[in-house]
Amino acid sequence: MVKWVLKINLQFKYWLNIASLTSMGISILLTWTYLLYKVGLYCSCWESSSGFIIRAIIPPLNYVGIIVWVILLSIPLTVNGKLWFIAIPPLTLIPTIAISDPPPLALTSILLIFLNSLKRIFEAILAGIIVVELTVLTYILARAYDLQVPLLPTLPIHLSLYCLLIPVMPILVLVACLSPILNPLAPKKFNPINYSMNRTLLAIALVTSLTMWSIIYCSALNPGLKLVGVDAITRYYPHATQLLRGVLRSVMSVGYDRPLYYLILYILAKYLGAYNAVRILALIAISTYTVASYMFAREVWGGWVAGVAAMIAPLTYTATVGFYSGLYSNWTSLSIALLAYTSIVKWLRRGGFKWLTLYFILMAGSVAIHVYMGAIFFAASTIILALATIEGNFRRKALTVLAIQIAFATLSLLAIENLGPQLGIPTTRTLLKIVIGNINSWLGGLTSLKLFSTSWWNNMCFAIYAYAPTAALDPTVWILTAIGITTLKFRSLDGFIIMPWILIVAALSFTAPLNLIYRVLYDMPYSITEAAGISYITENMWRRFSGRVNAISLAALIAFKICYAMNYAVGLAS
Amino acid sequence: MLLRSNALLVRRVCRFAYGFALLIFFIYAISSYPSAATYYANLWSRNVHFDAFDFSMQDSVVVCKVEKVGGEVRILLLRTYFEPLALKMIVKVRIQSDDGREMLYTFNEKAAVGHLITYAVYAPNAHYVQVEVEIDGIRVVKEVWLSGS
Repeated sequence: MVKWVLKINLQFKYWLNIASLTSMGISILLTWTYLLYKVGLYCSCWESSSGFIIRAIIPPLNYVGIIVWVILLSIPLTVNGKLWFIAIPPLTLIPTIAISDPPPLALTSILLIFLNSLKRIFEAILAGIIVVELTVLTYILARAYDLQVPLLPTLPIHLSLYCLLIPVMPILVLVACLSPILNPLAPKKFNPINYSMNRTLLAIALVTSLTMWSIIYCSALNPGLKLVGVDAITRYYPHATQLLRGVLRSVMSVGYDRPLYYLILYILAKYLGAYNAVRILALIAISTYTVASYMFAREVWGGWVAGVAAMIAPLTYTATVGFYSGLYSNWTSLSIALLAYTSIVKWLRRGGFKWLTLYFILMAGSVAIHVYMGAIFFAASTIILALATIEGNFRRKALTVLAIQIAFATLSLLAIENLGPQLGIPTTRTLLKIVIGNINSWLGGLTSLKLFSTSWWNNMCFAIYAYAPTAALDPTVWILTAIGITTLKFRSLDGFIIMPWILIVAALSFTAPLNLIYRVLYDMPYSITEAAGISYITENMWRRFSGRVNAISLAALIAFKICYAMNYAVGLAS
Repeated sequence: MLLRSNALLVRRVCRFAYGFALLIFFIYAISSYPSAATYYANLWSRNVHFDAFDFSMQDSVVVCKVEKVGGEVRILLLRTYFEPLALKMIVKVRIQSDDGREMLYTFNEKAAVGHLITYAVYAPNAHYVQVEVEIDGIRVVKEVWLSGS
């Protein structure tokens, strides 16, 4: 009996502590939102029906909200302070109602910060973020699926978490692109710890991918079930109907720069109809990317980072921009490139000609699905293999692949150049001509380029803010990418693979014509770099704090990303 | 031992020098940024301040401000975060002028939550404005007699 009472008492204390942490965190977040409201900051968002909209950052307060804030303040004050502290929140209610403004409540929340240790405040804010984001997720899903459930209007708190960083977003992109040069300054390098749960995370990630896709085609927001995505409407749907009218040969003439993708589109359109085929393309792109991110990260770093990469894949810049612009073939090509890298890592580590063969098949597939993405992949992989020849362990294998790759690419280019017109590719649009045309347009712009000048920043700002509007405004993408790349070991296989990729993307995006900057930025596997960043942070927190802080910081980050991506998807559909 | 500590010192100095050089480079790189970013300032900050802490925020829409600026009547409207399932909103603005003329404007809006919307109507002689917002069957009405009329 005594044991039972003690057990109950311990459990009660544990849950009271959790409640105290969470309520303190929410109070601090409410104060933060209130401060931003007073400063007059707004958050730009995208709604397809209205375009750019300015969302007010306003704490979700009315009479009920004020009472809830008072209760939230009472819990940590009573649990961690003295019993008479319970009188403070009701007392602050009087001036709050008298002036019809909540500064007394905000000041009491700030008082909590001084009464607790830094670690506890950090934990409280993270716990608060998790609870707030869960209510935001309910709010978003209720909006998307027309669910009649009681909803708390906590969306402005979510917006307040990142809106302060919106003005500096292009700078964060710059830092992420230049992160390889920050690498020598990293105090510790990335050395992932492996936990279990990776398969569970993959399963959750696949459900998240499906949810993201289903939100943009849910009838509550998109009653006519119209197609979503610029290219989906202007390119894939008309081309699918054109392919259905023509013969199989038209795959080459219409989709000369992505023939394999148009073949898939043709097959899907034939069996499902043009409209359903285009909808399915988006689902294929997001789920392939999730699985490819998982497989690549598992091969390079092991299961835990793989699970995190899979979780991030449907929530990152690749997904938000992919859905907005309908860049399904770029997206699929990127996923195939990741799978190709997985094969080459397996080949370099273990050998086996099946991996080498698979690498070349996947490389050819990536190029055939999207020539431009494939070209970036080819350039990055050539540099990677050249770098791998420096490392004694991989020298022979890397040299073999490098030689075959260059010979394979040269022969393929020549073959397509000669056989292309017979296959139906327009003579002005052969692979070699596309590549030369692109190089020339790039070189033409380079002569007048002034790096980091006002006009250069104007173009960068336009690419970040106006192309695929607000899709790039999730700061965690750029911050985690910068952390991930900065902490990679340069002389290891992961460093060899990721560094050249980001360097090529950085060099091309800094010099690209205005309309191509965001498309070049799109060619980076952010799920991988972000997973490295998150794993680095949590691994160091594990050492410095405890497992609990580690777990809740990861949960808070993922919860924020889920809400950002799903809120964006809701905006696209409505 | 001495050699080792010297090597460590040299490494630290090199690292510091590299870090300092990078800092200078980043300062140079972002020095032109503010002038380019001001164009986009309306994305995160607008010269619009509303006083919505009047505890009427439980409504799905709040008419925050009706004012006359020069010859224009400006109406500031906030679609709050309540009732997110409401999709459409109709805004009717009735303006009476000094000479007895009456003007009626109707705006059909998508009810995106949190949207702060400003309407500007040219009406130099306006002396009375009635704003009626209907959202999902709920009506919010605000009447304002403009000063100086």
